[in-house]
Amino acid sequence: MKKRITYLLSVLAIGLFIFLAYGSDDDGESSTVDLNASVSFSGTQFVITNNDTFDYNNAKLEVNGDYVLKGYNLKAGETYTVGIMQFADSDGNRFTLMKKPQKFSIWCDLGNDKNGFYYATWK
Amino acid sequence: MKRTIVHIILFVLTPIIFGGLIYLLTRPDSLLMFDWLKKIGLAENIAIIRSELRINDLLQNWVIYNSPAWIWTFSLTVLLGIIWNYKINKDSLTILLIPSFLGVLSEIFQKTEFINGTFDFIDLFLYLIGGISGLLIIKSINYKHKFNVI
Repeated sequence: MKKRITYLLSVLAIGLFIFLAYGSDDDGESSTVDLNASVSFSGTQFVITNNDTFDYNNAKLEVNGDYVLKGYNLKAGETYTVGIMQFADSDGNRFTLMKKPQKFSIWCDLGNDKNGFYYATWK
Repeated sequence: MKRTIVHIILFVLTPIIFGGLIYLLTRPDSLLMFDWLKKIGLAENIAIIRSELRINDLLQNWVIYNSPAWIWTFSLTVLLGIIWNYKINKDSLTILLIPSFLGVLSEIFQKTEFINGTFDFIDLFLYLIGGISGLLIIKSINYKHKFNVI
């Protein structure tokens, strides 16, 4: 009986590792697309340009990893200005002029189960 | 029991976490695991961490592309050794050699294009080294049983 359990545990361990190895299989198709966007900061607002030929739908814009603005649709080739006060953290605190933007990211839906991602840093 | 948990943490979980981080932070996001992360809502966080850390620039290629072969073979061999109560005998040895066998088989399948991936002789070598080092660890922590191969 004890030996049977040992064999069973061995099969489970091997199965678990095969499952993990399967996760490292490369299907050749990335589900995340690097966005060709550009973002600049004017002092009171962000100027965001979609340089791609497709729209950034349901975009989540994030400043410094904490301050977020959700639900934006950025049309292909268009430029948008977004005031810094529109960004808020999870507690509802708004981004203020006293804070320095250092990181900016965009995460959006692109359809076909793909997402777009953009990331920039300022020193 | 406490000692077994320490061994699992040291020789199974730690290498697996390290190997998993290598995949998550350095490998192309076309791996299936990134689809799984997306399904549980972690894809964005991982994308941000990957962009912030840029670990690819810091690590040697062999760490990124070859070390996982050694890591998973070693971890699974040690885990199986723990399951077999650190015994290396006629019964357990067949099981303990399975990780290396599977690793080598996967490389052969890649070579023959039976499965996805690129054949790498270094990986093949590391699958064997992973198994051997796992057996050596089991032997070295086997304080109850004599090393008794067949």
